[in-house]
This record gives sequence, structure tokens and C-alpha cells, in this order.
Amino acid sequence: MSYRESSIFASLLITIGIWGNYTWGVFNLYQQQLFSTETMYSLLFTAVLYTIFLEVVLQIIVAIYKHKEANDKSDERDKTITMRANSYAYHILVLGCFCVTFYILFPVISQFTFSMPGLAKEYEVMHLIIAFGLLAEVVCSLVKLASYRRGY
Amino acid sequence: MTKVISNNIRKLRFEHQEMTQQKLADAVSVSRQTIVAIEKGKYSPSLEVAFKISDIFNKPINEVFLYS
Repeated sequence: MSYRESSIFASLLITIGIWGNYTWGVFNLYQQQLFSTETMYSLLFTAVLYTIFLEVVLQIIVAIYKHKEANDKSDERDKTITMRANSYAYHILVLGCFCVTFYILFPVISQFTFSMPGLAKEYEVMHLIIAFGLLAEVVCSLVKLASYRRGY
Repeated sequence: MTKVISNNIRKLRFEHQEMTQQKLADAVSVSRQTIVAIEKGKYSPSLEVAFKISDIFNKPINEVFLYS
């Protein structure tokens, strides 16, 4: 596995691990009926801080382990792969924008789809935006990994 | 019948004092993984990189890259 693949893989693991843990935490708090804005803030800040900390530590470890390739500039193949991955992520973000817009315009949708009792509407919208952002990030990383594995 | 792009880079490297993939990659300013992908026919390089590779082997581009 090359430096770039390892780096993307590390970021993907962090994203899935930490935000999966956040989702699990929210779910558990709901089950115990302890969910509130304060507990949500606590979980959210923990997730953000862990993401930054682990991203820095893991990227340093990958760079030390693959030190020969770590300083290589990205070439035309890297740029093409990044563009392709970003294009997939962009489509997911656009879909997210439409979904959030519909969610705000037609509150009745929340009864059938996504609703977080105990939270203000703004926080529900924030969670929807985070969810689509994370989905876009995961797809972007997966497309990059698949492209690097396949060669292009 | 569909035509595909293939190349003789591996053969040419060995004819040029067994040039390593890393040395070729450094000479054309791409990563070694890109040279691996080009050699395997998984990635078609830009014209600029194709010309640079041909230049290194002192061959015309159609002797390095084949479209058949």
C-alpha cells in the first residue's frame, strides 16, 4: 500500500470510527432518555477533538512509516483520481442540499423520515448536514482507494 | 474490434541498463506508482508524460506506446 493509500485509509478509519461512535452515543442517550442539547454538545466536541488529534497522530505515523514517499508531490494521476472522487462527493453534497431544503420547507416530512425529539429544529438540520458531509467524505475516500487499487 | 493502448516501457527499461521504475519516475516527475500503473496498462498518461518517457528512451512515441 502506497503512502497516499495509507493516508486515505487512515482518514477513512478515523471518520467512520469517531462519527460512528458519535451516532452510537446519540442513539444510546435517546434509549436512556438522557438526550439533551448539553449532552449533544459534549458528544460533538469530543468527536471533533478526537478527529483532529487522531488525524494528526495517524498522519505522522503514516509519514514516518512511508517516509520515502511522504514528500512526493502529487502527479497527474493523483490529481485525476482526486478530481474523480471529488465529483462523486459533490453529487452527494448536492443531494444533501436538496434533502435539507425539502426538510426545512416541508416540516411534515420529519414525521416520516428523520426526527430527533428533544432537539431544536436547527440541530436536526445540523445533523442532516453533518450526515451528508460525512457520507460525501466516506464516498470520496472509497473512490480514491478503489482508483488507487485499480491503477486509475 | 476495440483498440487499446499498450506500451513497451518495461522492455525499454531493461534495455537501458535495467533502469528502475523509481529512476524513470524521477526523470519524468511522477510517482513510482504512476509508472507501475502505466506499465500495466491501467493508466494512460498525458501527452506530456508520454513524450517525456519517449525522450528518456530516445525513441519516437509510437515505438513506446502502441495503439492496436
